[in-house]
Amino acid sequence: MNQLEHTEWIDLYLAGTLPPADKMEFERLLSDPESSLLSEMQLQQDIIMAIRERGMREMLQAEECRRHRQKLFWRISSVSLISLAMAAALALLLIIAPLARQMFPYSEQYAVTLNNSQAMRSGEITDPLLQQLHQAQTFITQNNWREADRLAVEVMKQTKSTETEEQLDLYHDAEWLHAQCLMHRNCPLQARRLLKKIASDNGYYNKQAQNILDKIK
Amino acid sequence: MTDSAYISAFLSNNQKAITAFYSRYKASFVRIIGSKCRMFDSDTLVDIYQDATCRLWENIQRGKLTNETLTTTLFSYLCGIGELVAFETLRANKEILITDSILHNSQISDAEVSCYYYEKEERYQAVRETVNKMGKPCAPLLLNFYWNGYSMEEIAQRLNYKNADSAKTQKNKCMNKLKSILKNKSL
Repeated sequence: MNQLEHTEWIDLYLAGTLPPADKMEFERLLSDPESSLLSEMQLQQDIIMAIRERGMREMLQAEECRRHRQKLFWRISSVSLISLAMAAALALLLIIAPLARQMFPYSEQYAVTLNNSQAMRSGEITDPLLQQLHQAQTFITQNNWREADRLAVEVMKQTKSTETEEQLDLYHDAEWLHAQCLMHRNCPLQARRLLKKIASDNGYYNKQAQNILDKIK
Repeated sequence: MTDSAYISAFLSNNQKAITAFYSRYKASFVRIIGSKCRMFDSDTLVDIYQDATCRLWENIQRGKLTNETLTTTLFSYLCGIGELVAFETLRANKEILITDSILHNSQISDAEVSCYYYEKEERYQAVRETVNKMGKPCAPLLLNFYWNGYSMEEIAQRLNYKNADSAKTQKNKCMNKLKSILKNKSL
């Protein structure tokens, strides 16, 4: 056996995979006082132990680095979340809250100025959609803006795709009511977006919408 | 996992289970050793914990600790090693503010303490130093074979050797190189 073979044989012997015939020969050499195989095997065992110990230390060190990175990630994430929350609060304070405060009084003023108000007031309402709008206005007088908004959106959905003039009027009424409800319910950004849309349309309420937009600037 | 399962994992070098063990007991270990030796900062305590875990592994590998010889919980045993490592660290830094009483306060008996004592034999120390200095191509090759337990085919693929035979030849050459270095140091 040369040196390379020694190393290979010792590995196989320690792993218990040396073929039986070779194992007998190997053990004979191990017990031979003239052979240096025993001391070489002990040295190889120590080397293997030291290699595994190095592997073990590197693994624990890697685990420590992983935990450190994870901790750092959470720390950065929490800092980012706090910053985001603070930015949102600041935006609320500086932009949204004043806008909502400005819009609120206009909602009560303009919500009762519907195109179909006269027809509604005449009492004889047979159109179910007009009835719904009338009901929405009743909710507003009861200060139930949420329910009024729900009905307005409902009418908008049902009249959106129709092309008759009456239904289009109803759609514009419902859209206008919806905008007023949004203004009243402190949704200023949504309300402003809708007012801009109404102002750009050739509907009944474009001037009034533009009027509100001018005032809240 | 039970202590017995952890011992088996340390014995078979089950890296996933060893890492789980390491993560599971780290906080408790650092708290206990930190409360006994208040002069250590958190980084030193983590170093002590790593050292203690390595010694626990070594004791299991060398057959000094088995399911039969474990008379306390594995964590108590680990804390016992930790106290010794802490004591050695203080002594090495010449900052012995505590006395040998740390050994008597230990949760493990003197007989067991003698088992935990770090092998300071010159021979193994020299082997460890030589192995730790080892670089490319030997370090990744030998670590993949002896620590990660990869086959020669896998190592050849991972480390871009032509085939398993050339990886095996290189591995044996590396091993012989280490042996000759150590023999020259009269080991």
